[in-house]
Amino acid sequence: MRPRLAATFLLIVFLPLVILAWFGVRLAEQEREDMRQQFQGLLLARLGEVDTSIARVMGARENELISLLAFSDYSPEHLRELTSTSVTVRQFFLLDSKGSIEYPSAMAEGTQLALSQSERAFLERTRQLWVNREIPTAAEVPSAPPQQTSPIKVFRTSGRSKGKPDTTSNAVEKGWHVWHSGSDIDLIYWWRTERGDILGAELNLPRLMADIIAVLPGTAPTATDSRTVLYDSLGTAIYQWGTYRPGEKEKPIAVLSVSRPLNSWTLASYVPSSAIAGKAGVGTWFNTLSGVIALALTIMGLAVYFFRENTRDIREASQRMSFVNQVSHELKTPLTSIRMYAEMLDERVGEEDLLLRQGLQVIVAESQRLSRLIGNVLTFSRKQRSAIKLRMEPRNVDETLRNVVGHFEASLRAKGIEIRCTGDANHTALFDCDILEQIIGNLLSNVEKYARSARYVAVESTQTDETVTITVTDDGPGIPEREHARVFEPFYRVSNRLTDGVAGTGIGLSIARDLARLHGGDLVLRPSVCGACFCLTIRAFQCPEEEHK
Amino acid sequence: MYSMGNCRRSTGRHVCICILLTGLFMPLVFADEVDVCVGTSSGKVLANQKQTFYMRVTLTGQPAADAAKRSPVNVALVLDRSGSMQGEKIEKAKQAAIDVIEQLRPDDIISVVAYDDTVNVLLPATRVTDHTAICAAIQSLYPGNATALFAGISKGAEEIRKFIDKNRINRIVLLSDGLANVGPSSTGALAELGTSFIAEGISVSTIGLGLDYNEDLMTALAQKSDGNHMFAEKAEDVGKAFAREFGDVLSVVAKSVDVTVHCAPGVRPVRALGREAVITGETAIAKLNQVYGNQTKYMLLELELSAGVAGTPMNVASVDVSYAGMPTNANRLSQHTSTVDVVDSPSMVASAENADVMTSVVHQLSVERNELACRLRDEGKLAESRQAFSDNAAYLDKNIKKYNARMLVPWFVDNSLAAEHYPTQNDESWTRMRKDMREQQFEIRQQMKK
Repeated sequence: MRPRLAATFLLIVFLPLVILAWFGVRLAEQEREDMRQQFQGLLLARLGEVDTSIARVMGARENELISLLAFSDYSPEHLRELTSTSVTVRQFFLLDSKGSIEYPSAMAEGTQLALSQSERAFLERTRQLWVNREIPTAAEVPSAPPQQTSPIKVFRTSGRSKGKPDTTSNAVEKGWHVWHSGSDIDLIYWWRTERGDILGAELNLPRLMADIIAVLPGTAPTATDSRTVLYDSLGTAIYQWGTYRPGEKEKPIAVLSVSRPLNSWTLASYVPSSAIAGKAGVGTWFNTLSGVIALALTIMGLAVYFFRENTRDIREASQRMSFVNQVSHELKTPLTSIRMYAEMLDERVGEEDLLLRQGLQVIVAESQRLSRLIGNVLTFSRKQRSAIKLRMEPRNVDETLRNVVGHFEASLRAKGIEIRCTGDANHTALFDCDILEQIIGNLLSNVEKYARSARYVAVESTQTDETVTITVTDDGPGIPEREHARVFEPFYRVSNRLTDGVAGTGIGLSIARDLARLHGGDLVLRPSVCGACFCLTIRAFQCPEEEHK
Repeated sequence: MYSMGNCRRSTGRHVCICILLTGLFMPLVFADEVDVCVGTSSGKVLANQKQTFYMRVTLTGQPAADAAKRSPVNVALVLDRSGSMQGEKIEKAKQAAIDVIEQLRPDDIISVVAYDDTVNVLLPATRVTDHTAICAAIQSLYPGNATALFAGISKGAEEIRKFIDKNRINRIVLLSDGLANVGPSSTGALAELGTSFIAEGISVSTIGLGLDYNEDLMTALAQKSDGNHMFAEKAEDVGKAFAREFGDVLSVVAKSVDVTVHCAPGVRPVRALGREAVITGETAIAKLNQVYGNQTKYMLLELELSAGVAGTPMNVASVDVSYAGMPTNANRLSQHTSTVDVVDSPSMVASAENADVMTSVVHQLSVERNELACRLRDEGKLAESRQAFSDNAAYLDKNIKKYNARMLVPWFVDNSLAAEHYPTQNDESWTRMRKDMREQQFEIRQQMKK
């Protein structure tokens, strides 16, 4: 019972705790996720602002290049001069209306237009572009009015694969062109002249980066504990600001692609995780934990209370039992003295004083009865504590029987019940005679109490090598069939008008049967037509004749 | 009795005298800030054959008549505060910076940018009026982490642009002791940035501190933007480097110097030695950001002369040097032509050799040999590298004797020592030597004053 009780107890206590804790964790996670989302939103907004300032730099560059449109001199000499004095452009170039490159042109080698080293390098770098015709020309684009109030910019990114010019778009007057030439990107801005030629500028990319860095924030020692990084198309950092240093494998909270034409660049924001969790996270944890603890204590308190309530009855009963036990023990000693002296006197008293003799016999009989009662109680409690030990001794069964029967003879005769004792168990055997006496004593005491209307009680014994069988039969009112099983239960007394008013504890049969079973046998109630017939079997090994007591 | 005619004659004489006097004093009052001189490898060439020929355009800055008068400067100090600068290095750097700032005047502009893996503008561009505040800003420099050199320069340039002016000497001074490892860190990227700066009129001078910086990167940046480069091996050397740099900055006499060489028909410019020049067809253009007083810079061209006819002088080239004289910011133009005699006898050619120009030629060619020796070492060819140094020393020795070129002797000694004490293990000695060589190569190519 104990382990099961403990298991139930644990289940009752811990199951709700586990459920609560799980919910608490989920809640905390949800809250953290929400905060993260919020953070991310904020960071993205900030990155958007940064992107705007980058876009402004690109816009300024574009305006600067467009303002060069004011010149109508597209001669190679002029373009060469523009290139050499330009701060932001690596190389200017000119395409004719068919898309083939006019300046710088390798075909002019040997003439006045012989190329410089940087011009040659430019041609080398951009060879793919001219071969693939990646910048649209007048022939491929549908005609449109030359003046455009709102310039349509076409941002086209081509990888190393051949890119087809966008022929379905509206008339394109100018635009950015991005391509990857080995490391990171290369940027070209091109625009169409009135003649239909295309004028272009390859940007000095480090310069562009430097100009972008110039407008991005620096890092003061008191700056916010976060970090924003601008990455190029290969994922290497171009520039970063903020005092926080993210770990090697740490992922950014918010990532934003820079607007075109630098869309292969990204902005990433890193924030320490402690900042995201923040005070709110700690608060939720604290709340959850305290809630869990409070509930745990409550449940445990309740469980303990119910447990104690449940076991109260048991405790009370055992208290009572131990009280009775104590009392019985206390009674046993004086009772033993009374019996001893009474029996002694009974032997000494002669036949002459009838009153004295009868008086002593009554005293002896009653103190024996009292002894039996106390013996039963003590046995019962010892049985509860499983403390009964068998004391096997070689004895004569019939002799023991006669002893017991002798105790009851007088009182039974006084009630008009005759004892007939037929013993056929004369061989010495190994058994506990006290126990046998107690069992038979209980049975006979029951006859005395409940079978007063009986005329006789027969005690018969038989014996085999291993077992001894004794039957006690009377012709009293008997025990109804339906009560046969229940009479052996402790404290149970069949209630009818015959037994009402008779004092008894209801433990006699229970003890008798338990003792019989302890002795390797059993006590059963045989069905009988009239009266009650108890059959006792005990295990008692026959001894060789020499051990005869 | 004076007639009207007599009066007119005396007035006329007064006027003539005035004009004469003015003409005499004119050069004194309006003396050119840069003295231009064009020389060739020889006054005579052999007839009837193509030959290699050298032309040198020398620019010598004339010190300002009024020493106190100089152009106001606009300087950005870009200081590396990465972790490796911790300790003595950063303290000396701060001290050196403070020392040079003492030389500046209220109309000078100064800004201080510090970088590690992020950039912090310690002192935005401001006039040098409150020395204590400026020194305090510099003192607040503390060591940090990795190195975002590109970003540091970018922010420095941004500070310069706040007060950028034709009348000012616009300069970024970069001090770094480590490799650039955040942001664009290739020599090419820094070189291109330098190119864009010089078009704006900003020069970047680089000071490399210790043995861990990337000398190729630092010299490329300085070279493309026509700044100086110095190797400060120990923290104590930083002060000297700063002083030398500021000495130059405060002595600029000309800005935006363009040297254009138009070669005559039959003359083809092959390449430029030392200082870079853009060669397109028959024109070679070299640009200098500035010329310093009492310093001489030159542009050296290798030319190919086609066969000439004996007795007929050959036009070599016409040279135009334009610049803005400082502090007045007056535009100047100096024009020269160069011709050479065509003769039959080789001995006449030999005797007409210009030892001075040839010294410069040998100097620059030996730098190229020295660079080759370093490149061989970088490729792991130790034996060839050592041999190359040795050959260079021999080459110099021969030419020192031929042209009596005393100025080449220190360079000769450097190359001989390099060959003699050639470090065969990849250890600190080679690191130091390489940085030292780079500095020397730079100084010779750019004609830095020692």
